[in-house]
Amino acid sequence: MELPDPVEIAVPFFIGAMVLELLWVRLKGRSAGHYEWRDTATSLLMGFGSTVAGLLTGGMFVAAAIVISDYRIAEAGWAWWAWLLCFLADDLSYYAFHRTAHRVRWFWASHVIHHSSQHYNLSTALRQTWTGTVSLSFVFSLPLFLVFEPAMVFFCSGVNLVYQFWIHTESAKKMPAWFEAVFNTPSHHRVHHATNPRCLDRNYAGMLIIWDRLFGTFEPEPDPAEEPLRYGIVRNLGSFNPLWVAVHEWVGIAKDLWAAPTWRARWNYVAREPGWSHDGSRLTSEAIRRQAGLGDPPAATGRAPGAPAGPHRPAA
Amino acid sequence: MLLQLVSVGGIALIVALVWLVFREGSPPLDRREAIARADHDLPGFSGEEALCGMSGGALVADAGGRIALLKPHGDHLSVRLAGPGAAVVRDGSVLIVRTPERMFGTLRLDAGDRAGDWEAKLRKAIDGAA
Ligand SMILES: [Zn+2]
Ligand SMILES: [Zn+2]
Repeated sequence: MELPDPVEIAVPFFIGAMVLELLWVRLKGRSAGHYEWRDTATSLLMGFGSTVAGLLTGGMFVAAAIVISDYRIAEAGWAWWAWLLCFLADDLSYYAFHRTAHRVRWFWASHVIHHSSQHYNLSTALRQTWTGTVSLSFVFSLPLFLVFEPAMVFFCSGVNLVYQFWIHTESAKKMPAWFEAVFNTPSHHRVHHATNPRCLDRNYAGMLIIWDRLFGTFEPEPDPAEEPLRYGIVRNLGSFNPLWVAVHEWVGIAKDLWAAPTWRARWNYVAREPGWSHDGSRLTSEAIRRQAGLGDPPAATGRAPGAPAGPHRPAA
Repeated sequence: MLLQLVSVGGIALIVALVWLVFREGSPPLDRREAIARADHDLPGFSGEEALCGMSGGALVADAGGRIALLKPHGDHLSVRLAGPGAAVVRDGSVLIVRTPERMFGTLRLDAGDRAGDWEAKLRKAIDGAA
């Protein structure tokens, strides 16, 4: 079956929605969000660059998917329940990818791009990585090809990506309670993009927030009057240069590998969480949470003592 | 290819609109906001004294003499601690602080009649950290 690419169809809607949002923000003032032209230009250029990178490197993903589907262990076919299961499985694999992208510096180096804006508006949604495919971020969805039709998997992950566009806004405050309970919303995802200690490494959801609730990574949005959210990464770049935005963390990794005293430290600079350092001179998100008087997140209790800390800090 | 064309047109349209619609900069930084920003961005830092530049940016000092550099970035701020490898120059009332991070850029801050004062503080903070 030939299925369209949801992202391609959505591009004109993305443009229309941004026009509406920025006019709305102009009308309503800063409580509804904010735009800054250089920030928006960088975000949109990152988005454009990621489609070009997709053309250049996407073949790697497709090839891997085709190879894996030769070893299919089940034939889900095109039944309605297969679609439903595929959407769920794809969303869960997104959760697994996204959580790893915040906890393993190799994957963070690609994902950090999405978090590098200090603004939170629809254009932020399009601030996408250029190095996702070459850093093998797609491995998390490969198991799906053992069960589902490849075209179905690609379609579902396209829909997931398109869904995540509209939640990058401060213009929508809260959705109805039942919706907030099940789906990822602007409120939940604002927390994900914030650098307030309680928000670090929280709300990894793609379409469904249920995974965060299930796996203990959910954090509700604080009352803005009590704790306003600050967006970005803990160590903000201070640069609008798209090339630097795209590669800064890779450069950081390279420098650390060069300066590391042992091979074990080299491995850890790639495989451990962002902010890990061999001499404890940097801060990981757990260390930041601890300093702020918040407990360790449940998933991070196995950490070595001596709280790493530091410059290349993860963000939301 | 059509996608790329639509995208390029869309990018130009949106950026031009944002430039037209949001032209006024952010309100000038006050002392309290500068300290809050430094405290948030530098975990463990507790600002006590701040110097807000007349055209944006700020310096915030803590009780131990460490100094946070708040560089304007669009209508936000990017923060670093003045540390090893940083350098400060004074041009009249303007303080120019460079960090060892080339891509972070330079903080230029019109410090008025407090420039000499803060230049000395900065030098001490940079030397102290080295
Ligand atoms: Zn996002
Ligand atoms: Zn993320």
